[in-house]
Amino acid sequence: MELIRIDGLYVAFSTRSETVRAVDTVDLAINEGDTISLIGESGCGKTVTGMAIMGLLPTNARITGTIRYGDQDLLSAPDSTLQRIRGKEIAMISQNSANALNPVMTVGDQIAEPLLIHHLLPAPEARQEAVRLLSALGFDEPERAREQYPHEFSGGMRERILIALALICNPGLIIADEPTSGLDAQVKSQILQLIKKQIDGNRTLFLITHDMGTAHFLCTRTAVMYAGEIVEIGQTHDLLSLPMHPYTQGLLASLPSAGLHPIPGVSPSPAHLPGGCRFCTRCPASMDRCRREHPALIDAKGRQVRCFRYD
Amino acid sequence: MIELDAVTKIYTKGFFRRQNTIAVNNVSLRVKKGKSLGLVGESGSGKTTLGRIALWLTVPTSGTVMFDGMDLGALSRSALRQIRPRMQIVFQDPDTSLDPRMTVRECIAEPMKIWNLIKKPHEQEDRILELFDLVGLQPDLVGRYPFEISGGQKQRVALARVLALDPEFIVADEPTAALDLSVQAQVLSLIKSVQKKTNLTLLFISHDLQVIGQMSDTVSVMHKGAIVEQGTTRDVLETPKDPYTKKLVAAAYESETWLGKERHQASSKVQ
Repeated sequence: MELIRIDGLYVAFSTRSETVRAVDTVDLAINEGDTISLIGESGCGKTVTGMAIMGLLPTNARITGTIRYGDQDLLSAPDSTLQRIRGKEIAMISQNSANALNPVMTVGDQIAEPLLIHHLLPAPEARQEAVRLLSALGFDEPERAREQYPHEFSGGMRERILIALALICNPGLIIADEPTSGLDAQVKSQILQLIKKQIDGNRTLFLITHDMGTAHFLCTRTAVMYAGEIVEIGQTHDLLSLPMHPYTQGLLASLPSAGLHPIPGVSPSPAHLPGGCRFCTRCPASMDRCRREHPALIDAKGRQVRCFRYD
Repeated sequence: MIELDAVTKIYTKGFFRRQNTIAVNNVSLRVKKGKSLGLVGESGSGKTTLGRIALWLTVPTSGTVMFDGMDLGALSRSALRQIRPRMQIVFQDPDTSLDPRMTVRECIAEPMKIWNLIKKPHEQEDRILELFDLVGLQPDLVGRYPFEISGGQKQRVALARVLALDPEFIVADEPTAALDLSVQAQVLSLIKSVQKKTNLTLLFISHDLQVIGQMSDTVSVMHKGAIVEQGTTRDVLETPKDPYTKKLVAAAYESETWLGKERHQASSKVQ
């Protein structure tokens, strides 16, 4: 069953002199129970897409398109509706655990807060629930951890606290934005296993990451974003083993294990996007047509790809 | 070229109740001229402290550091200052290592001015453009401020600034930690090619074994302040002996075994 349908999502930010097109006409359907990842490099628009679903974009954003959730459009829904949904039905594991938590509130109170806001449990039970969740997420002394402040924990433990915060109201959809950035390989692997266990089967995951290993571990489907657009989308396994879009191919070749073969050039500024294909200036296979026309996302070999070579 | 012998660094805190933290514990290592040593370990293992000690930016509690046959601890302040341009460091985060109020030109020219390398005014511009070419920067960026250029470009500027002095030894402390994958590949292959061209000696610090595997001739694995294993990159990555190294290698390659496996499948499909 379709949980969320994003149609023609376009997000732009206007400054005095220029318009920055952060997300340009993104279409994406997420079914219940899906695990889908959005991968791409900084500035490609993946976090903005996640923020749009949460209704957390800043007020200067110019947004068009629709995000259907049940019988509502999240983009035009009033704040009161969004507040009812956020945290309870759709929750986010935000990036950067050092800044995402409130430094002057104990961990237990922060985790219990969404339960109180959504009137799901009275305070004493909410506190108990927070302790139970801390224990389930690997805290040896949950009663003690509840009374502590975020700065008393390591990065990996803070990440677990953020996961607890997202899970506390038992939401159907989790949006995780770079949940393991800044963590060591071993801690990262623990956190990923923890997320996998919590998602498995009964929740939908929308993962935002630049790490292909993370996408492969957690998600069955993957969309690759470049300069505000989805350039390739398909089954994670197929997409990473036989990438079709030249950008996806370039990303995989840039991996240290593949020998660090860089993509030449830099991503275009979202304020000055090239006219034809947005990747054409860096693409080893670009043709005349790529500079003149803008390619659409077309069906090819069981996935979708935005490239004329598969036309 | 650079040789650390039984180096220990202990940080002490507290006045009445002294608490010692042993950041680096009895570490010895050497890097031969023109070679690259990779120092790998998780955060808090002491690898940054060790990198700073190798440059005598942090003075060790005990042990000696030899640079090109000179004992850095025995040198006078002025003698130490004289060899500073020969050994340089590239920091982790270019956002905090570049002066936000200097243009790229001023930033690269500053070390050359301090060391009086510039005799005539036009020489400076020529040298800057030469360095720009070496690190792959567009010449029109020279008048920009750090906030006006991308992360990859900033790290190239930091590298150009270091190379302005023609150093013989560079410590690169996680130079790509703040960069995207494709940009990381660009900057790392740049460092590799510069190292070859100028016969640099490199101490490359990273928590990423895969990156080290591409960048270094030899590897030292650090855990809780001590070196637990060292050897050629190939030996350490392919047949790790120490249990901690084994765990690191497994963690690093576990996330990407899919790549190798599927690559293999993919290539056999093609055939």
